[in-house]
Amino acid sequence: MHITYFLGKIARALFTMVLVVTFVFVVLRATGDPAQAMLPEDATQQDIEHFRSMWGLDKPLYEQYGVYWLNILKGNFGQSYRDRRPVTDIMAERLPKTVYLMTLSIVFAVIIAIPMGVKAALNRNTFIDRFTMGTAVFGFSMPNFFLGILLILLFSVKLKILPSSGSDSWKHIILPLLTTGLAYIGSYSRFTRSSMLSVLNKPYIRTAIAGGLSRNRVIYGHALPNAAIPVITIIGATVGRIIAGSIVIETVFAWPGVGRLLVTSVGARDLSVVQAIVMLLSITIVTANLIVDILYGILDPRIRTKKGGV
Amino acid sequence: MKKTTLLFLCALLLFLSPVMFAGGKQEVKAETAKITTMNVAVPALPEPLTVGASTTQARYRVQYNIFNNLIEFDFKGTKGFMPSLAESWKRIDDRTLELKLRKGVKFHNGDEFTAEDVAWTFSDERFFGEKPIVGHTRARGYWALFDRVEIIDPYTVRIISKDTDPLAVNRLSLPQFQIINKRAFQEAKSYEEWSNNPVGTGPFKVERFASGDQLVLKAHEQYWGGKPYVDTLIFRSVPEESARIAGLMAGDYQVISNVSIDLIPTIEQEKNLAIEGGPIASFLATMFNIKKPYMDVNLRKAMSLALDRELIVKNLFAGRTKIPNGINDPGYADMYVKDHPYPKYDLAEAKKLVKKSAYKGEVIPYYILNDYYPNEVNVAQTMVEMWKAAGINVQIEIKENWAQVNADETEGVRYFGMRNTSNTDTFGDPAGCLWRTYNKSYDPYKVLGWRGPLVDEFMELGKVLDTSVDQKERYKAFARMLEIYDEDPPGLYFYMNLSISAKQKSIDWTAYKQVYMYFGPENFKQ
Repeated sequence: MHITYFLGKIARALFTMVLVVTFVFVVLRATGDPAQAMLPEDATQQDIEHFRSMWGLDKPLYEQYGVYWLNILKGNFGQSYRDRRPVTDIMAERLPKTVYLMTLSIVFAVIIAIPMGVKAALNRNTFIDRFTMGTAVFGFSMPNFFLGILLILLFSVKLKILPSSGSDSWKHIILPLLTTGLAYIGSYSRFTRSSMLSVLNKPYIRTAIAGGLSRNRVIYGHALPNAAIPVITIIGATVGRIIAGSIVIETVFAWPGVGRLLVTSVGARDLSVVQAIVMLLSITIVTANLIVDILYGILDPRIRTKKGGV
Repeated sequence: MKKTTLLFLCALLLFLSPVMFAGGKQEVKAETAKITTMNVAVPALPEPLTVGASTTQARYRVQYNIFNNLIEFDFKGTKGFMPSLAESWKRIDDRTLELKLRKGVKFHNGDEFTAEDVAWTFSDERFFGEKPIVGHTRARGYWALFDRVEIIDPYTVRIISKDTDPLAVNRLSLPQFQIINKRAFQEAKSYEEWSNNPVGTGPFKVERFASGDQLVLKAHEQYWGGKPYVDTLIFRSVPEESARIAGLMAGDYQVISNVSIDLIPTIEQEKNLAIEGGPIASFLATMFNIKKPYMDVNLRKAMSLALDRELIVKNLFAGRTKIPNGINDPGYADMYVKDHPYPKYDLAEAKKLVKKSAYKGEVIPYYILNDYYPNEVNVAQTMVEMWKAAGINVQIEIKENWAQVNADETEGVRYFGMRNTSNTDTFGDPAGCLWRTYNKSYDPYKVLGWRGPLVDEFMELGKVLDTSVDQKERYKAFARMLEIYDEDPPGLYFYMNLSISAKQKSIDWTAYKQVYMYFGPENFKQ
């Protein structure tokens, strides 16, 4: 039963990835000729034909598609049209930067947001509740490109204590981390608060309090684990979007990650790079969803005992 | 309750501590005698670095710091062509140029520069053959007449053209034809390895290139032009303009490129910052699709007369650029046609010509990119209103890339009625601009239907520009070509494009009248 469940999940994930890559493969070619996007506007016909033949773009689409998948099965994701380097090398250069930034942002947000949400729930309708939720709404609703620029103006231009962009040292990560983290804090803390509020009204919490359990035991031993399901869902969704979510931040702070690479590669129709990033995007989203499913089962025993549960 | 609060405060303190205790910005020491590290923020870095692989602004911005030409053009002044890796040159005949090479020039790897490097740079195997290692042949378009290099001795070469080439000297100054080190190229494990770690003779050598992030260049202490003023030169890719400006204000960058006109006052308000640059040798223009039945000569002339170019320059460029008299630049020296008339603004005449034309109010699709050229969208919107006043219905369509701009409608007819372009002056001669962009190989003639007796005359005159060594004959031909452009316009020219940079005032660096950003010792006051 468990194996069937996992195999089904994996098959569905693979199918999703194949669909996404196929869609991107067709759409990128349908919306513009990479030769014309890559070469200067006054490139000669000879240049264009040379480019097409060099990258196999003169072959029928189905043949290009077949060759693409055959190469992937051999572990070859192709070469960048721009600098002819293997896509795997480019990704190996860029991916750690994005993962580093986004993972730290999520960890930062979790550490701040969950206590914030719990605190707000426990002090419902008080000043603390309104203040923390006001802060959360501010973080959540502030466009990150705007917040990023404001932080640069404050910490780099006025106070001159942090670098405005780049990724050379640990100082460079602080502003992008704050910008991304504040938005996540807003989202996570609101979910934590509302989830805690609904759990705190459940009969088993009242029973636990009536039974004489300490306040901390009730909150952290009974309420929080049960309130965690929706929070885990939203964190899972964030993890799945770490690459897509980094595009704006990486552009504002000149952070050399995969998000920026995606933007420049789409503009230049650097097909191999775009396809590899899209595949990576779908893998992260699918994997994050799978992990969330598993965590549901761990946090709530009722889920793993249901049909098809883990 | 208390523990929760404590935990929360600890976590907050832990994450904010770097902010609170971060000790100053990254180390940039601008000493009085020399600059230790100079950070230059640009919108994009080239991919890859090597010469001849492509012809993009991103490449040209950095390339002059790494490589030299045999002959240089004086981009700052009016000296014209100057010796560089070639100390002198002379014409042997109409097809042959002999160059004496500079002795004692060292490449970044310590090799001495000789005729072998020149021959390799221009070899069929690397560049001019059927299947050149460089990959595609874009840069060759700038020297279709090139035939071969002959080595006379280690410090003398002859460059031989297929036909008379009065512009061989001009072409040698192009960034496409900068000199590379033969041994380093041949010893590289792959073309890719070479491409990202190329070896030239310029004032800086490549230390590290992280594509899309930064290009770190180190001073080439044995540079033949003198010791570089900057020890470490870092070009950083900062795509967002506001981030470049904030970084300049914060002192993270000493120079930034690609500043928008509307942000110039913001920079000028800062006491320690200064604006550099201005109009460059590039004409912003449109190309007409003359295959559209309505696009007759009367309508094309009317579209020019309906434009108040001075108003555009005054209001949208704060008067920082200029309107040319034809695709014709004072930088051409003796080839500049001083008396060629400036474009007129005459709305009444424009209306008359519209009435006389085949145009019956059709929507004219006007394809532009999203500010690919400075202020492109604002200018286009303004011009649409000016054309409307003359009874011409132009509709802007913003496209994502050139492939979309050049999409065909049916049977080779483009969708657009007109589209933006820039006519860039590549080597200080009309052959590198008006003739290069309106000859038979390029769009106006090839695909946009620019034909007729005047056009035939234009093409014949262009051949004189290309092949005559008699400068008076060439001048006469060029003057007539400018007239034909006005009499049967293949497009419209508006104003000179701009390249605006900004810098810390303490840096004695000046911008070229080009997009090239050069930080060699010759470009600093010392």
